[in-house]
Amino acid sequence: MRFLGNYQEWIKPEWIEKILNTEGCVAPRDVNFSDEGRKAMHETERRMYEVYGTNGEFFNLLESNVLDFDINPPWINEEFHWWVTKMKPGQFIPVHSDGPKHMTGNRYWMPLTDWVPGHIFIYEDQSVSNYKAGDLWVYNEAMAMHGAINIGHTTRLVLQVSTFGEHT
Amino acid sequence: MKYIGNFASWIKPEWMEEVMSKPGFDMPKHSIRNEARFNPILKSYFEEVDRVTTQEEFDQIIKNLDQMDPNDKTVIHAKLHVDYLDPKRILDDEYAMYENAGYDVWATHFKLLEKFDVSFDILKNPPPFLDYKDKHITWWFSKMNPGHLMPMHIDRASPEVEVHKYWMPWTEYQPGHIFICEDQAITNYKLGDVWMFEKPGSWHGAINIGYTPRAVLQMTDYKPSRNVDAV
Repeated sequence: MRFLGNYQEWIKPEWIEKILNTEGCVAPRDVNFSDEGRKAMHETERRMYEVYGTNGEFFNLLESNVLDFDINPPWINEEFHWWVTKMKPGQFIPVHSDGPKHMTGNRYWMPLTDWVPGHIFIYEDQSVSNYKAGDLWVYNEAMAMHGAINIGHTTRLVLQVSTFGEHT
Repeated sequence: MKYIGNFASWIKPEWMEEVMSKPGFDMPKHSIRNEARFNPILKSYFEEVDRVTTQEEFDQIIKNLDQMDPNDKTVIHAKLHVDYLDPKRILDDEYAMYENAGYDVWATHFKLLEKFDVSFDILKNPPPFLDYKDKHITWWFSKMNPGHLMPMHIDRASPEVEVHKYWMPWTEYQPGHIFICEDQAITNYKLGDVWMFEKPGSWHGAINIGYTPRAVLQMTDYKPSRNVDAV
């Protein structure tokens, strides 16, 4: 993962309020896994659902269709897709690899809440902690094992943005 | 966390086998029962009702105890500790903190094995890194299957007593086996590595978001206060 800078001033307070007050889709419980989607999964993702099941509540997924605002990230000048992961205390995403089919471009990772103990993003053997809201990282190694954890006492919000072009 | 060294050779294979094969207590669910979980009579209700949710269930347990031999030591002990099964029991601050954050304190977040639960005593063959002279030593194992976790918390310790806390994994590191102390995640470790908490009052927690079980030995030593014998 590569740190790109802090964009806290770009985050609008009303986004956070809206995100906190919107349920979104509980993943993976409410995700409709199509046959095509399953085929596209990397083997570690398939293993994740075999071990942890598909009825769990890893996190709440909020995409632009359930939020009444749009974003225009100043660090991107190409087509992109964005979503927010809302992780309540006790929720986690098991370590997995997204695989090459998910990772044709860059994946940007930006916490929307300040770090507190127990909020961790795991990338290979590294942990991302002690961050500030608005810190921005990029990662694009398609096969890298990663996961996320909230064993803290407050909700953790992260914005994720994917581009479709070439890796930077 | 301060790395002390690797002491894998101290771990006996038969200890390892026992730790990995025994189921252990459900935590924090059974911890809430506190002393009740050591009582054979009360323990039997865990399997029967698992989670005492109604006043009727609790009242029935009391009635059953009243019909038993009042001079039986186990019954006396059970009566002393039956309140841990009371559904109206007010949880202490630590459990209230977890509940306020949204954790289900009646769930199984991890498994606990204490010295009462295993056939061996590690202090009969003390670990080389432990300075145990005149000290009280407590030790226990936490076992985590994939998805198990221990929320961030601070261990209770009297600030007037010098405490040393040690953390020793009994399984090899796998991606997703995470121990967190403050903002430090311990990863990529070897079975038998030992770390000491630099500050015993640090926030710490653990989770297994991997695919294999994880077992860790925890040890604490401290010098007892006056008039208390070291055990």
